[in-house]
Amino acid sequence: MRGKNNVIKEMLSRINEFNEEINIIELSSVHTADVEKYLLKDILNNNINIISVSGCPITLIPAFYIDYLFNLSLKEDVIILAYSDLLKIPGSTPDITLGKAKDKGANIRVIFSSIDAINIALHNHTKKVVFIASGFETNIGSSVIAIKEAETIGLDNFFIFSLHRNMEGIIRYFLENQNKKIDGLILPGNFSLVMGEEGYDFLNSYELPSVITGFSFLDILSSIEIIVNQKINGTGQLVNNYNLPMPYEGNKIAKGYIKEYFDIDDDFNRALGKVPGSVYRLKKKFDKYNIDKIYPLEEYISKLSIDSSNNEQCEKVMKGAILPLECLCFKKQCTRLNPIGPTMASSEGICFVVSKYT
Amino acid sequence: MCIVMPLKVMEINGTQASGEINGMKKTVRIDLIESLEEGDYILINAGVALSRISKKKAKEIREYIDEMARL
Repeated sequence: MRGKNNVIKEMLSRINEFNEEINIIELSSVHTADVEKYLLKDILNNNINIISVSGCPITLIPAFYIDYLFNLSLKEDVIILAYSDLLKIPGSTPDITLGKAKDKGANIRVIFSSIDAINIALHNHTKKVVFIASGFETNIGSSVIAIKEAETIGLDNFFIFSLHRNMEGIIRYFLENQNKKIDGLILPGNFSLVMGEEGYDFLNSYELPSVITGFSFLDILSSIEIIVNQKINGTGQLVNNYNLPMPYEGNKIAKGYIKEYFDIDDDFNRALGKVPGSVYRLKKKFDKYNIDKIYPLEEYISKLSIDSSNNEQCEKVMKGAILPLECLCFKKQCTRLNPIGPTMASSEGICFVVSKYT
Repeated sequence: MCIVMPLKVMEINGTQASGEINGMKKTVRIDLIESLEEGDYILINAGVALSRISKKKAKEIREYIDEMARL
């Protein structure tokens, strides 16, 4: 322990010798938690700015998709299955959540794995069972496994609603829409378990210090040091600082599944507007599993429009323009128990994470 | 869901493997992993194994998760 503390102390000392302004983006709740828990902003000098943007894929779901699922669950004889955080995400108002639909009698259940959805469909063959497939590429293999199982068994009451997000599309948005110069990027490590270091190759064109980072405080601090050193040397390269041995190309089976079942497409993202190449849609040949083809979106929401959450402050937090503490509602009207926006509703949202440590 | 959990594989049965997390038996899908053996450690997310890891790494990740949970 003493050895580790000394390593951290020396690393901090080296980083703090650098006195130019440096702006670093991080987009994972694991890294946001490290920043907050270890008071990183206090122990780094003021010239080093860590900007948290909302990379939690649940927070990026447009409000009108939540409205769709809310209305669908109350109007049709369906069972909606989702990972737990999705139940708290607000739609176009904070009163529209899947959790509140459940309170009104909708058949909505929390699951922990996509295969739970298959088992529920098997036991409820008179109902349409809808699995809400959310997350970045890390989760898509899980969704494909469920669809393959449905194909094998010949299930005709299993459907998915794909809300999967594309990491490259989202990162490109955050890099290209900042109001200050960005000098470095701390990248989620788990994505590379599936997509490999290769999945972040697109960043080479930005010539920006970009570091695939593990989950511990030492990991994030060493990544910051790598970024500072690259800035000093005038280089801008992708570095793998995630200390898990994995093939450069990632998980070939998972990548093959993603390619076989999904297409990358443009779509709306909450607070960000329409972002090119930011989502995954189930390929046309799997339309029979796509709930949107059975119950079209436009029949269950009042208008298909660009998402405006009517919450400017929430949008600013999501884009990294303001800190959660600078939002007037933070921990007052908007709390973990009664969230207003998605970044407080999701347990991996910036506001939720920051509120735990402040 | 960002969280990955380490699991020691105790039993393999076709596309499923089972092990223990926090004293509870856990069954996961291993469709995405090539050639897995009993005694291997895997990283799981949403009920699916994403990668094989070393015992040492599994312990480190476990300790980190426990530390974060204590806050």
